[in-house]
Amino acid sequence: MTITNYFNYYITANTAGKALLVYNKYQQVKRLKAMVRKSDPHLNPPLLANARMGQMLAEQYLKGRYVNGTKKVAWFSSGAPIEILQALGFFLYTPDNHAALCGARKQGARYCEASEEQGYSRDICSYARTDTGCFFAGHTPVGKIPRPDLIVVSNNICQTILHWYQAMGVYYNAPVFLIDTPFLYEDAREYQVDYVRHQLEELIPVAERISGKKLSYKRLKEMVKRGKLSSDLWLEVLYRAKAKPAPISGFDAFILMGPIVALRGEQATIDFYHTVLKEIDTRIEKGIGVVKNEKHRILWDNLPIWHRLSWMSRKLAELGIVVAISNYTYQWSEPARYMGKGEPMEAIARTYLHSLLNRSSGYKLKSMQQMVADFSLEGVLMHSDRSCKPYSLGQIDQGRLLKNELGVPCLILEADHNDERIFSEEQVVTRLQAFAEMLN
Amino acid sequence: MNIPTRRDIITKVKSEGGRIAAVMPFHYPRALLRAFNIHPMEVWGPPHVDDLSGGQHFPEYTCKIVTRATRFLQSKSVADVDYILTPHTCDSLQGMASILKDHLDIPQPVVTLYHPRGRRPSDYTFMLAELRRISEELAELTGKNPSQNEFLTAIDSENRALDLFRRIAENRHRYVVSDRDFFTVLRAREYLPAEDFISQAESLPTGTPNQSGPGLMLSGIVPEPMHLFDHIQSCGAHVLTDDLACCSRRLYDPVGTGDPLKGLAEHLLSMPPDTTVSTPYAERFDYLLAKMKVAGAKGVIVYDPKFCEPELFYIPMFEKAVKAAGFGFLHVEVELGTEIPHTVLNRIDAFIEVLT
Repeated sequence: MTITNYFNYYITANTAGKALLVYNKYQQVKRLKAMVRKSDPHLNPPLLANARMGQMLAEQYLKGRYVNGTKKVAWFSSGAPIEILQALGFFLYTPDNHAALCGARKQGARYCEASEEQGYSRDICSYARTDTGCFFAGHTPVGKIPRPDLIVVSNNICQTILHWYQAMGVYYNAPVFLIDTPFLYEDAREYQVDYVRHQLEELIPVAERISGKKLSYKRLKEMVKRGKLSSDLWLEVLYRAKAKPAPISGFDAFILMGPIVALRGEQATIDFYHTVLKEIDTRIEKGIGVVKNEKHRILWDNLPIWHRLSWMSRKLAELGIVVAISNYTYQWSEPARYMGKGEPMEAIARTYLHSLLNRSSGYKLKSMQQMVADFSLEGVLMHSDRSCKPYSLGQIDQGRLLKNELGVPCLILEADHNDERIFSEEQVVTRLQAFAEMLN
Repeated sequence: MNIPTRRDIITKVKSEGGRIAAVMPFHYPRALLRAFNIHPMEVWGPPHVDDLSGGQHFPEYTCKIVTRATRFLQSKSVADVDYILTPHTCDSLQGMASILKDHLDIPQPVVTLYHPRGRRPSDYTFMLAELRRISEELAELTGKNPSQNEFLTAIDSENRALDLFRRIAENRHRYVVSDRDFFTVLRAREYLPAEDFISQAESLPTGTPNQSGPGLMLSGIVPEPMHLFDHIQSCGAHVLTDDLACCSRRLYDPVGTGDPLKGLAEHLLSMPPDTTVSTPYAERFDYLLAKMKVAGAKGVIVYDPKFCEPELFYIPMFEKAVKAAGFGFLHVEVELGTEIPHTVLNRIDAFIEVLT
């Protein structure tokens, strides 16, 4: 580590930068509080926790700018097991989260185009195009991406991610380690758990060599414990939306999920979700809902349309509809029940195998049916996401069965999570209005 | 050419007391099925089937192999099929397997196969365990427990067919037939039993083919419709070698002696570099460039069905690698039907003209 590296990472990012971000957060909180006084006919002011969330992720990206040369960096896919990497002290960065951030800032299409200019098809995932596009463009909205020393990817969310991360491995000249997770039609069989556990065991010497450290099982156990705690807290946050009116919406959850995806198991994440819970509980006590005139409660299926988050939230609120829960945000909490069982490696293997996207269409349907009952939902809005085949395939049958078996109307809206070119505002408005009539 | 039709084979297998499995693309253990007296017949679409019903279950951005196959498997045409085997080749086929199992009312049991993406000790262990699970499932379905001898006989027959398949696929220049006939014979392996395939393949006339113009490598998933070869020939080019999922991406090592399932696991993981198992980019490009050099190809046409993500991810780097090595490169996407769009034909014309 050079003196310049040290100065930049520990002084610029961790001290001065952090102080600046804390100041920014207070400014942001002030702005959010000021919104209370403004009258919005449909939406109550957003949670103040959003500002803290922004600060946490900004801090992480700021550290990422200066981390190379001070710590080893591991990239991981959003569904990949990170506990071993955390226990070995890697600085962690997830390209999925970065791509989503670009999408939320309406920069997705810009970077997708940069990727397409280099030959990537418009028919591949827009997250992959966003991240490769940032590489080709040589810039990103977060300033600078840390160079990876190791890339860990798991296909428990899709097969596409292997191709995407392998390409990033080529562009950044970094080794790629795969955690292959066989698709589940029922709860995992022992040989499937063993397979993932064996791969985790194969990862350890690779990660030890790159980090230059020996894995401490005590530290690994601690990371597993904290990972479970943060996931359990995240589940509690989501469950608070059972209250009527819903004090937190699926759109809030899309924003607040940042730490559970990118920083799960970190003490800051645990503290953050405690704070979020307190704020939500205050809202419940005061009877404050996300939507002022909550008439209908629905489920959001699939990834969000990042570039239209607030627009969608507002359009639905105008119709008296609140998205109480999304199964997308739920998948970072539900499998955590396996974290508490058995020795750490087996617990990690079971948890990451049972990711919602690694399970059958029938399981996903059952999970949605359960949510309809638990959250008193009247409808399901399915985002048919051109960029996410594993999530979108099955929706037509799931929608049909939800309607036939539970009488729950479903709306399928075609869009793309990051590519704003695939969105027809007029068409969506018309279809949302028709959906609201069905709910009425 | 007098190749038995699929219907001929179904009739023959059934009359001999065998059962039929409709198998989705494309890596699967033939000898394991054979040991259970199950004959695999592969379903690559088929291109002539409309996908209206299949389209009722999938969004429009789904590959036509999946939508047409779903339609086909729901039709009366598969009344003689006893089982469906769906390998998890990609997100779309994985989704299809799940829809078939969970939501569609089809009479045949659906057996799935997860093919590990790596080549580490854990992947071999898993592949073996996965084959054991399938073997147990087939035993339950068929009420049959093949003896060691039955396994070894099945392996021997499939090894002989594989050996011949390899010799033909790697020696296009030794056969005096049109490209279309050559690949028709190779593709007959998609439904012919090993013995029938061997007899067809051995009857291919050998000699020095009268080929002119630039030689090509054909890469991609499946060359449907087959008159693609006629068009390439009419443009003055010919296909010297292939990297097609339905053909040369299945040049596995033969199944070894010893424990049959262990041998099958090693065999299945020995396939050449392939997009669907995420072979590292450089490894695949090195392999394909060497293959083109050996065959004397001047360029490659990558012929893909639309929305095939595994293929699409490789295209940008593959194009650069191919061009850097001094070869021509063309990537086209088709909807997998009975016709090839004129725009695609025109691009192939122009590509061959440049190479000539």
